[in-house]
Amino acid sequence: MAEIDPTAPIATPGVDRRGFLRLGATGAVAAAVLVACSDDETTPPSETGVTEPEPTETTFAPPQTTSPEDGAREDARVFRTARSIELAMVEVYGALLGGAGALALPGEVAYDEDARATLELLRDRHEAHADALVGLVSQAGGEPVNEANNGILEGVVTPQLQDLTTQRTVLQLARSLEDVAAGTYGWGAGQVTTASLRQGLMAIGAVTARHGAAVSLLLDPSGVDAARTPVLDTSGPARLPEHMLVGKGQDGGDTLAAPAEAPAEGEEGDEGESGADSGAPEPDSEG
Amino acid sequence: MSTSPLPRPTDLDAAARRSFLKKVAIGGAAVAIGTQVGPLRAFAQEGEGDDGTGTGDASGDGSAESPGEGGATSDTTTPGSESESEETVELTPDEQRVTFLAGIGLAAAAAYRAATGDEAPAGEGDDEGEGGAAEGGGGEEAPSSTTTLPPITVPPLAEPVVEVLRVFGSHHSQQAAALGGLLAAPVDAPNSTLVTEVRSALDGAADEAAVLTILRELEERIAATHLQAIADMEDVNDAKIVVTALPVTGQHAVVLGRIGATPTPLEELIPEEQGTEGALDEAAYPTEGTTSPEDTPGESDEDTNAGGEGADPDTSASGGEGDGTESSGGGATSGTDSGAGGASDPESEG
Repeated sequence: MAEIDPTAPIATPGVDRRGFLRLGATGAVAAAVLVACSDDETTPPSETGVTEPEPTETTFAPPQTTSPEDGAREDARVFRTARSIELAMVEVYGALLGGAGALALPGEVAYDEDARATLELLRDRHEAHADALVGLVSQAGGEPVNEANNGILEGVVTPQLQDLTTQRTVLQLARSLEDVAAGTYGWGAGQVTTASLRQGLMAIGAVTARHGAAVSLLLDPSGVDAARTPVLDTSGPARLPEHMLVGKGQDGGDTLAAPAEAPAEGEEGDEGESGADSGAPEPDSEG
Repeated sequence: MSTSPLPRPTDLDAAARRSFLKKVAIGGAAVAIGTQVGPLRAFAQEGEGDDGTGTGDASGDGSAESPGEGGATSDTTTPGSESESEETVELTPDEQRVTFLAGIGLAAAAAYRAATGDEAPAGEGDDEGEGGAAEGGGGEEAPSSTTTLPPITVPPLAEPVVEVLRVFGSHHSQQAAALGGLLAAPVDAPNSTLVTEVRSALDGAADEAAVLTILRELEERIAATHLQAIADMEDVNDAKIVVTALPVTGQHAVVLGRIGATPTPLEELIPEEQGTEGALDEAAYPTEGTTSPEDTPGESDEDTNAGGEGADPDTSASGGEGDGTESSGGGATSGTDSGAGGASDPESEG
């Protein structure tokens, strides 16, 4: 199995991602957004070799699934999480476009025509994805999920709301979220147990990656930063952490904004969240 | 699910192959990256020393040189090493797909080089013209050895566009190298049908917008091909590489559609779902050097290379490592059949 570090070969400039990758898995998503919204355009030097958490684990590691039951559970978890992501993205874009509600921005952001049109299109696409995932969740053997991913909303977006005052910071947030969503799809495709599920997932995940490119073009019309790596990064820091995945018996609203406390000694945290958001979800963690 | 007509390698074979593949992958990636280094000076300051063996590095991953004409039939059996292996290694259906996809990736890289005027050997192509006015095809200039492509003329491109195209081309090279890492012998020959087709289109392009459209359509077809392959691949670990390549291919399409003077509507570039329409299939874009799967029940997929027919010597392959023959891709149309279900056992390999 080829193990390639998708971030290594060609270092194209990328602000958000760079900071993003440097951080460990825990809180990586929130950190990404912090970086994204910093309005800081300077690009840190190459990140090669800096990504420490489970650097090789994900992208091409063999699946962890060990039994049909585990596989079925993992299938469901991947698709339920995907739908919760889409529902969250719909809410986020709604807020970015001036919607009221818990996620309302501190003030009106003046978008140029292209940016507004793009944000609206992406919101619509996420709506379509959320709808499409209803059927796919069922195909994967899962129960429907009807709530947006709380981990994303509370853990990532809400803390950044106050900073979302300019088109640029909004777009940076959007790009980061799209990247993380795409990374989660890519990771999920490596977890599910059938080729048809993989295809179904990537039919959406691939478009999500396009979203990121479209947003990036608004930030840098040259396009040079829009497709940053030869392959999608699905490693731990580049996708949703464990506590934001929708396990059995949960809905999107049950996902956590921050990792659960590590169980005190003696307690067996068989609930799975297992503190370390190491990324690599354990199939039976939702037992 | 091994209902394939082809015998699958044993676990031991697989294990041996995997370890071998690691080495090969490294070499393959080095080649792929190396081949881009020439034209990509701006991006790869460190890697200058790619010059694997002095062969024309700019012409790179073999691309361009061999397609078309003689490529498919040049009887090269592995230049260099273990050449007596005329016997071909039998590929599993997944390996056939991977071989096919790698050839497609190399063809895409070649297409980008043609578009940017980087087909010519380093040193010659450059001074050609800053605008990127590509006098592609190394016709006279790339006499490397075997076949040469007819020169093409590509309209001048703005420098920022050239920069983007070079990055995208390098992405395809690296994707191909990653795919090649799954095989016993790295694929170093681009899909000649595709190269010929795209070069021909580029040759007729009127302006930058036309070039971008050609490349965007190529990306769209490759994305569709990737998604189709995902449905067809049995081994999840093989599929994972395609899974991670597909989104980037789609991103390329978006960028190509937007950086020109007359941008493509975003709705068109961002469909609701990625589809498989327009996917390239091996029947129409055959992998050279294929041998019929029934031929030999090859077992030693270790060092013996698949009957490297279309392999172009120029590729300088992995400088010694897997040295590149092109592994065959089974004439068996892999292709397009739904594949769906493909219930792959996730633990393949586990």
